[in-house]
Amino acid sequence: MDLNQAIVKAAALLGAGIAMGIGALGPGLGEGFTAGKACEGIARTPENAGLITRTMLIGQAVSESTGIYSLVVALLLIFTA
Amino acid sequence: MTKKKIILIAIGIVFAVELVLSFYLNFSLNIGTNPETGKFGLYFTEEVVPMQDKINEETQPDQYLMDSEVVTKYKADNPDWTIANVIEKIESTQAEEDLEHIKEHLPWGSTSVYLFFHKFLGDGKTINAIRMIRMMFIVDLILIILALMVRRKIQFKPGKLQVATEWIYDSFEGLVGESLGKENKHFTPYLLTLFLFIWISNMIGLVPIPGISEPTRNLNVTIGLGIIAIIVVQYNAIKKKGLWTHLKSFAEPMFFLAPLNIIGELSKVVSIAFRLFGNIMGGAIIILVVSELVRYIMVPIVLSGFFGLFAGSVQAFVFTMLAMSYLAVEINTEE
Repeated sequence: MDLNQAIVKAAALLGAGIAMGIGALGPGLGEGFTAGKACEGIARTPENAGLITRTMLIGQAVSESTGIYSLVVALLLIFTA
Repeated sequence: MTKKKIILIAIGIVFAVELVLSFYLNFSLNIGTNPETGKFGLYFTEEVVPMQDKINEETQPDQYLMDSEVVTKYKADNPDWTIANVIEKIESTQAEEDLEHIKEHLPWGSTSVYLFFHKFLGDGKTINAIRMIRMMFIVDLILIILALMVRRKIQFKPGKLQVATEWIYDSFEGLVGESLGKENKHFTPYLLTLFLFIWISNMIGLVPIPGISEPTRNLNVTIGLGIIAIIVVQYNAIKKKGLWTHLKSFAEPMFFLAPLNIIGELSKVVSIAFRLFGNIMGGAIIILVVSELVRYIMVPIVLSGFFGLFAGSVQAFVFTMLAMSYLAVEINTEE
């Protein structure tokens, strides 16, 4: 592996790490916020717990998708660059 | 001290000792015939496989085969050979050792299956495709056998299996009725099949046999499921609203926004497919890496519990729920 290839590989690995780290920030915040709001909702109306939990899971999965995209980008950088 | 505490402390000590040992010892314990002495029993071998190789073997089997020693050795002389050429060359020259090495990479260790699929697919995809199709067949078989078992013994006074199946179907029908409306309950079979297929696919990753992996780990499977879901949504939207009304709904609120709406529709496929794929693939890689770090001691069970059982079930549920909510958006517009 000559120097140019090594630099490209190192940059790709660094980029993968940065993509994953920054990309995980948003979903983490969003999911935590959703869970907190769901907790409030369940505390207010415990009889709706099932419905609230289901909606919360779907909402979290949707807000997770940017994190998943950054994971896919990181995998691409690691394996193909 | 109570019994519980003693057991917990014992487990903790065993765990800590094994963890410390695992970082310093590069040995793995095997049962079978020792290749050096020829005796049957327990023996140690040194692990020399680096982690990157293991991940590559698991996630990019074709690339791993292309970069393997045997293939590069043959390719050094003839750079434009495909792997099929290499295998034919090895088989014609009766090179036993090379054949053994290359068979380790192939599914079932069989060259004929590989050559058959290689005709259609080429170098870069064959092993991955065979693995995916094999696992999909297994999942389909499980589903079909389950359905036949339930169907065969259906009766007025239900047995255990029938009760369980009816409970699953009923609870799903309730969900569908809540979000699609009582008159749209006929979508339950499709949505339940979608859920069961993805759930069984994700659960199959828990089986600790090499070569058995989740079919949802392959992006083609999830994209296929997403495309099916969107086709169902569009077909039912056209059936409900009529072709012209449905096409006109793409040009809302302004006609020049139609491309954006179409891209938004396509991005639904990408979004649900990548969500499932990324979750399962990420979990699988984390399990692989951490298992390799701790030499397969205890921790993988916990990881499989979280990424396999919990995340797998949640993702299967979420995929179904999202397909259902896309349906609900298109079908329940008039209310």
